[in-house]
Amino acid sequence: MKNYVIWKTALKSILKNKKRSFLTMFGIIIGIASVITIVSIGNGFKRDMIDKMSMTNTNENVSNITFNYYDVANAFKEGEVFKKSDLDLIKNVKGIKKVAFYKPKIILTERQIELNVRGKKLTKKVERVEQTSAPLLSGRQIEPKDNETLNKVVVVDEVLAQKLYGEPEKAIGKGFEVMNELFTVVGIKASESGTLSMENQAPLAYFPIKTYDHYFNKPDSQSILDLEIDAGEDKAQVTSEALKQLNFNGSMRNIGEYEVYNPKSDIDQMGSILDNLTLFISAVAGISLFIAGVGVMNMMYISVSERTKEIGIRRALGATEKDIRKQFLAEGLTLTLLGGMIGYLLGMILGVVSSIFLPFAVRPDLFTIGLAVGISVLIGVVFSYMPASAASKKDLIDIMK
Amino acid sequence: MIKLEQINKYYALEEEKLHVLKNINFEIKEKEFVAVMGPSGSGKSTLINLIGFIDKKFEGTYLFEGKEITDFSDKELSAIRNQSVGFVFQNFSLIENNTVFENVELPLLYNGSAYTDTKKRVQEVLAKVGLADKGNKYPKQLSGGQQQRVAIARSIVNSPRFIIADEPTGALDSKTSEDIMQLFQDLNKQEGVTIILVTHNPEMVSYCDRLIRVKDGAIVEEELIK
Repeated sequence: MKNYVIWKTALKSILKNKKRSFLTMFGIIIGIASVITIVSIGNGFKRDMIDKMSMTNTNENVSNITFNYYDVANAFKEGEVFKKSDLDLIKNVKGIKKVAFYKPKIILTERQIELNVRGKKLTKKVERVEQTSAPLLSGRQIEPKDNETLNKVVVVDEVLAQKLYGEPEKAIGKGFEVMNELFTVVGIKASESGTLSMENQAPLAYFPIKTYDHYFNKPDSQSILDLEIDAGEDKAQVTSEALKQLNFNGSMRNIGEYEVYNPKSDIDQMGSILDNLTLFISAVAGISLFIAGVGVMNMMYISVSERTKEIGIRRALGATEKDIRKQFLAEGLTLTLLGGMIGYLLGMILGVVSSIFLPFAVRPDLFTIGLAVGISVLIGVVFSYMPASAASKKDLIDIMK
Repeated sequence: MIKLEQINKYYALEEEKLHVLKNINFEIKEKEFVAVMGPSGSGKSTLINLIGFIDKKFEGTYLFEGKEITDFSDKELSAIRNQSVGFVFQNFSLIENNTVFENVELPLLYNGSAYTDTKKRVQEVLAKVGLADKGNKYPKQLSGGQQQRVAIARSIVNSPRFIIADEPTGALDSKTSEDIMQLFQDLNKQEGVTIILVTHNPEMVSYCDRLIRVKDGAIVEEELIK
């Protein structure tokens, strides 16, 4: 008998018993849906992490060095980790081609600066921007041309302006001193919280990013170094030589230790936590799938014994043992595959819906599709093989009576 | 066409050995219409299963068209059942979930046909048994006589070498029985189909050419009718 004829027969007998078939599929739908939900969310999370954290420099010959403080409190006091002397120090290590500061893809635009407000020193958050677009009380926004011309201008928050100049409106055109550099106030931004206290998380002043970097000379994160190593040199060896130099003579050797930094290790760590979580939930779902499989087996056995007469008729009309086995196998497989497909759709819908509340996208991929199909085929074959064999091995003489 | 030589068959019942067929010898020629009669438990069903390639555990020689049926594999036996023999049973044995058309189509599908090739042949045999318009009905929607006609259509759809009819009129009233027997006779006379008819009813024997009486597992009498 042709295979598609067998499939059609199987499908028909499943549809004949809609309610029973659906109840049998239910366990598989739940199991597959939960596996797919967790795996697809996990994949979405990983993709997102890798996107965010991957280095701009993917050069094979680059390794990174960072600095670990013995006392974490120092990390907030010290501004610069790597000084020019440190860079010069490792530049001379044999095999090093270039030393530069590590450039992450996402540039942190926030800065903490010290302000003098009526004789009190306050550390406040400011933002470096290309241009501003927040609603202003008065004055103008920072524009891209301020950046191009390195204009020393600033847009300040309403509350800060009030503290510094009495009334916000009077601040326009006044000087704004930051670390001995004088900026001109060009705009007053409406305050969101109306306070200067700690709970105000919004930046209090906006500087043109190029101007700020020009005067304060802190272009990028300086806590991580990029070491580019000459091709042909042993990367690990050269890096450890550079580390040795730094730990001997580096500017900060007394308050911490220089170490190799691997940006991927963060991702790997996150990934492995997630993998463990996925494994755990999959194990729970696996139990549900196993029970669902036993349900399939049960239904197949019932189906076989209910249809003993039909099997006899088919055998008398020329069905081989193999035809009968194939028919019942196909029935079990179709059942689990249908369950798997519905479960996959359900899991994907759950994943996509939950991604609305999550900061990353969940989308179908080949892996999850393969997983769903694979699991359902496996369950179908494993749990319908025995009933199908039992059907095919029925003694024809007994069933013809 | 069918030749049985020294056929013996035993059933093992716990420690006893039951001798159900004793030294059976007979021959059925092509285009014959043979009746097999005998009381229940006489071994005629066993004999019929043996002839119909359903039972292959026996002693002796079964020659079918000169070939000995011995250690055939399941696949070979199934192919012979499919192509060489058609079964008609007392209880019709139609698959309830399938339509009349699908029931008749089944032997063709087991013979390897695709759905597209079966339509013409199925319609042809349905017309032959007088049910050309009942293809889309389910067996339950038909009367007993009509169901038996469907079974007959199914038995001849693959143009088998012979038909085994096991008490085909046992569940039918006398008027319908006559119609069914007439149909068998027409098939035999006009199409030249070989038919082996198992029956209890002496009236049915009049349609046949030859009668074989079985009693206690042995053939007690063979007679020609007319």
